[in-house]
Amino acid sequence: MKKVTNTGISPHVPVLTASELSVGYPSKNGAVVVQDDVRLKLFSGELVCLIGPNGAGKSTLLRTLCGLQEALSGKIFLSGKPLQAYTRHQLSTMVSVVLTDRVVVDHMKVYDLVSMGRYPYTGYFGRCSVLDQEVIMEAMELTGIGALSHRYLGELSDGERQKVMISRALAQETPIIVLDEPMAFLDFPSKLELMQIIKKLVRVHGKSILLTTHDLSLSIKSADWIWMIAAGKRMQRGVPEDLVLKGAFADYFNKETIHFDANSGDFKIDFKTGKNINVWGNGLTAQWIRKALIRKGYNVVDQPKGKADIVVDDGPPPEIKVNSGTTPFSVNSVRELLLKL
Amino acid sequence: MDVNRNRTVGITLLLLFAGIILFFANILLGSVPISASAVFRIVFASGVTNASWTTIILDSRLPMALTALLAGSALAVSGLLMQTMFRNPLAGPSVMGVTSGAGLGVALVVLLTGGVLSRYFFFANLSVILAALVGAGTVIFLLIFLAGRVGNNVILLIIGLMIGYASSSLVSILQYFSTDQNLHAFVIWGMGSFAQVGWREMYYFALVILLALTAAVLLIKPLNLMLLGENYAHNLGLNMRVNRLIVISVSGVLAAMVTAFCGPVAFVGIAVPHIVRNLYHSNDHRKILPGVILCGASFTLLCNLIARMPGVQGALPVNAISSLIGAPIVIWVILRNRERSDA
Repeated sequence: MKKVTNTGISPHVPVLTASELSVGYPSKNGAVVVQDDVRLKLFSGELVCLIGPNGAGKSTLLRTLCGLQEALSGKIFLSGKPLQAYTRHQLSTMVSVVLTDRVVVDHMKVYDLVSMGRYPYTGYFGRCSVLDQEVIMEAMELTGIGALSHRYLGELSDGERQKVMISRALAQETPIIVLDEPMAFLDFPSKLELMQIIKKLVRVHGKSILLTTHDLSLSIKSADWIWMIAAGKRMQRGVPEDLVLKGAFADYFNKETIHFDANSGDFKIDFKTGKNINVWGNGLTAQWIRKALIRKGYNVVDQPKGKADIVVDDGPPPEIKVNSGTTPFSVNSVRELLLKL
Repeated sequence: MDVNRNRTVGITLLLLFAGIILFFANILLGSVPISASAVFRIVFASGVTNASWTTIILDSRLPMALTALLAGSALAVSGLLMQTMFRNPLAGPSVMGVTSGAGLGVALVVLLTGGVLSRYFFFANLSVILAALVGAGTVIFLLIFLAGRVGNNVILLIIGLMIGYASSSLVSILQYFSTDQNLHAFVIWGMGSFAQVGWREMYYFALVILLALTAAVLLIKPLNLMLLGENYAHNLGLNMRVNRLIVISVSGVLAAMVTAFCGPVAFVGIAVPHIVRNLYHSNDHRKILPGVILCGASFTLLCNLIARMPGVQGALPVNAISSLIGAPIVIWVILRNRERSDA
């Protein structure tokens, strides 16, 4: 464990800072600026999720921060030293990356790919020592792919492939790991599993991880910091809960029919029929009935028991009474309720 | 791990063995039947049995076998470097326009001035070789220049293809305006042959190819990193721009030398790396580069053997033989890989 976990940097010190940073692409008519005047700090042992709509410049910013692309202007510091002052080799031991580039090499096995992470440390012909082999095995254990070691890359699922790429980055033994859209092609359980691994690397092994994602609710639940960018807007940074309370997400992402709901920390797809419905009840059943009614376009209003259209007793057994119309009646399921309304 | 190592060693020894057998078969077999014991005495003992046999063995078959061996290794390694760098299984010296560039150089000399030069045989030979080197070199420098400006390997591959088509078209136009005699000389060059390198040229031919092959061996680590693509290679500390230049240069010099001295020999560069990767089940250049050197040599030695089968008057075009063997192999490899990725 020691080799992989030892980042050599004390906690709560910024490992990566940038100021007045301008990123984009040089072109014939001057530069195309994607993001301007970016200021940021990435702390040791913290997880940052960089979120923003497509085309906002997430990948460009990420590539610039890890030295894959030059900044148009501004300063980037890694552990207090300017990025430009690093040699290629020094940089390769500071930041490792997992990109969206699909790596499929014929005849290459999982172990071979992960061992590529050792290249900054190996000799002229890239031979791995016993110590290197230990680091490679550890890196695979950390993401739980030890059993895949002799499988060919072409045979892996998207989730497995992403774990292999993260193991490769771990084998590189860098304090900072940068991941571009690591969850993009994953199904929901794989997404959660991957986030679990990422959180472990941050909490237990002290890595500083910066990742881009479109999944706002997962970011709010997992990140220590969220950095938000959008085309033509200044970057917003903060602890997720602070950003929710400040209404920052609502400002950033609201469109006419999509609203950020500060209570749930998630988006609501607005489809309003304009009809009000009064509901009483506070158990689990009542909560899901509210969700169902909102989904159907009702404007759900909480009312005291006597005035409510729908009265939910959480039981057991749960009882759902509908008071609308002349004769009140009971229903047994949400489906029945929605049918009879 | 040990099983893999045994397999690697075993296959390497097998390829080495095949190369040695084919090398001696090339010296033993030819249009003039000479007994094995006579060949042995001519090569290893100095007892001269038959003056014309000695000439055939020492001045014809031996340099030809050496040329085939070196040319095969050179073309195969050239193809491997290009396939790795462009991350494209169909890359190779002919695809990148290097062979066509050499062809254009030769066409300019042979088709425009062949009538004058053919009176001085040595100059004609030398000028053809120089023309091929200049033509291939021009394409290589063009590729190097563009590689510095175009960051994208796929775009560079397409540019290489286009350069190849453009020079072939120029060659067609030159052919249209040339005399029958010159056209004939150019067509002969285009058939490919390992018989044009005598001992006098062998010195330069062998020296340049051995130097370039050594350079390729020294590039093993960068080549392995390039398998992951530009971004990952960069992140692992590789200077892509510089290494891409070096790899293109080494690969180009290898292809240019062979095309200049032997004419175009197609499909060795594309087919051999695939055969070797499939034999070793690996893409690690520490394993496959020695394999490609050995297998490339065996491939061209086999082609030369078939081209000079006993009973054939003169020699069949090597370029045609290598294509006939190489093309089915490429198709087999592509189908095999497709089956595997479908499964």
